Amino acid sequence: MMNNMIIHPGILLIICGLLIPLLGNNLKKFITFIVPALCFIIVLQLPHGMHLNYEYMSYNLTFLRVDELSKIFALVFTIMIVFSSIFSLNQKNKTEISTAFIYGGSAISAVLSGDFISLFIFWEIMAISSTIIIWMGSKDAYKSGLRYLTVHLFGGVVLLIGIIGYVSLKESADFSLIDRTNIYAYLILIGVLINAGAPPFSGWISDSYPSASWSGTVFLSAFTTKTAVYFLIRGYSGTELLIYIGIFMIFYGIVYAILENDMRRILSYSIINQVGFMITGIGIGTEIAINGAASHAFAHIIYKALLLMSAGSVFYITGKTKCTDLGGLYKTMPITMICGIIGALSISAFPFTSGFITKSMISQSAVYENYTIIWFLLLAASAGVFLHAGIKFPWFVFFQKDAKLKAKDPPKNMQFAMISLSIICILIGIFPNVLYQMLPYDVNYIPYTFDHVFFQLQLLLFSGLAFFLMLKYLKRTLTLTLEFDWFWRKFSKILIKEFDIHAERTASNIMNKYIKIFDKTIKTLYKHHGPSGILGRTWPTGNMAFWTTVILASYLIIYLL
Amino acid sequence: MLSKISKRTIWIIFISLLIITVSGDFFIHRHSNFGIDGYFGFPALFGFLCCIFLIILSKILGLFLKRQDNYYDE
Repeated sequence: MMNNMIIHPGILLIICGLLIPLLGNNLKKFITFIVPALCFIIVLQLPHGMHLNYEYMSYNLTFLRVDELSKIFALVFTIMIVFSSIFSLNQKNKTEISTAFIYGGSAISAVLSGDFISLFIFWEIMAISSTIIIWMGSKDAYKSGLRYLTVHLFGGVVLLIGIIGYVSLKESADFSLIDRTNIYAYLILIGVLINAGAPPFSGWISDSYPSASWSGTVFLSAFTTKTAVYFLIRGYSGTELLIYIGIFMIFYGIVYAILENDMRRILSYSIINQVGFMITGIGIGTEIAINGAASHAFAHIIYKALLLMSAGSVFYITGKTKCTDLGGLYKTMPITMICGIIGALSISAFPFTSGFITKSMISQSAVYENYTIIWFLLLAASAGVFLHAGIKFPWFVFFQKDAKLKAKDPPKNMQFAMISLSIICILIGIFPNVLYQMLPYDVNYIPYTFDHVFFQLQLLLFSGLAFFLMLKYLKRTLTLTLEFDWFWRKFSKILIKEFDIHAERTASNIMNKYIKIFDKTIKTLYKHHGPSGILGRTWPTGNMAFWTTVILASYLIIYLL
Repeated sequence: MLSKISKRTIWIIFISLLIITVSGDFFIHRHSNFGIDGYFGFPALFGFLCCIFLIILSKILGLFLKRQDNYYDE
């Protein structure tokens, strides 16, 4: 862990996560406060370069590769852990925080890994620890956790096959831009896209995240999909296929979020939508597009955590998550409402919030590369984001009808976490250069022109008008919406049932047929060899004497002739 | 719920905001990337129509894909 006075922040977090269950209550709280903040400082001061190199089976492993790209992800991951830990102090289940440390620590370690082997190890620790966080949730969390684990282990196996093939082909485990001329590169891509929530494996996000506890969902929202985004930026930037996958994810997320009733599930669909923006940027692959994707991941982690904290507070206080049960909370939970709205404005890329200065870089890259249709689709998607997350979430939770719920703002530590993240969202929006300085490439982009601000305001406000005019068509119903996971949650069951019936029928047909033949054989044998059969019965002695006489007589006659 | 009067006030404020942002196009020359997007009020109209379209699209898909929320429990 330590080498020339360099401490690995991710491994430090994992070790602390393992130690937490052994500690007393006060020490535990102290560590929950101090260690993430310490990790943040360590990451800030990491010197660029390759550190902690080891030789393993003739491969060179690098546990700490520090450059702009890995640093910005590690930084936002630590910020995330700092505030989510503060937010989750009231969580009674103590396993959750220690698992969250391991989960976050392995995510930080994965983005800091310089080779495939160590990256894969941390990748799998993430899969297991996040499953445990899901299991800490509601009573149906067990089943959705299992589904989550199955999908991720499957993705892990595909990734592993790809990595083994690729590493042995290249005779090096170094992880940099991947050469896409062999099949292994595509296996790796599939494994990573499963973690990014790309279709047809997007169902796991909306299935499992909302069944975690009120604090667990906040932790879950940040790491898995964004580690995949990091992997794609590093290994697959400029892969044109990703543009179309990204666009599909964007609209998929919007449509499903519009149809959804559960507030945390709405926000889960908007993760798919936002990751879609990043993946589109990675597919475009120019410097400004990669800057856009990386900065959008940074901004997204913070405002999505903020939105889920706001939703988590509502869940913590009222015990309800469905829009049909909620409403009118603006009176009783004003701070939660304001923080939720700031998160909602940020995700919608409203001017002077973090989303505005990051998402616009991705759109701008489409302009530079002459992707006309992609640019218009991204524009339509920006309107759609405001529709499904920007207005829908705050409106149905805090306004619409008064659901007459008894509520108050959550405890001070939860308010502190939400307010801090709100401030970060706005500060990034007002001072974009702070974020721009940390990006992989130099930024020659100015987000704040009158032109751009008015363009965005027109777009968003008129989307808002559409929302309120169409409100009666957006009425929430007690329904869920089928998606790709239907194939393994329902269709496979039907298939098995159907197979079961047919297999049974076939088996009994076959059995009947052979039993008949067998029966017939036995009967024939019995007929001839049984007690009364012609070959089995005892014959009278006179009969034998008669036939012997006949044979001897015939013999005599033949001889004499 | 918001009273009748405050609801009216909010609508008036909202509509005036809409008018202000669109009338901004009189004073600011927006540069265009692909021609059509430079037209007067383009983002307003585009945003509005896209949202209507997305809601209708979701409604149609919903007809086929929506199920009772205990669908998987049975």
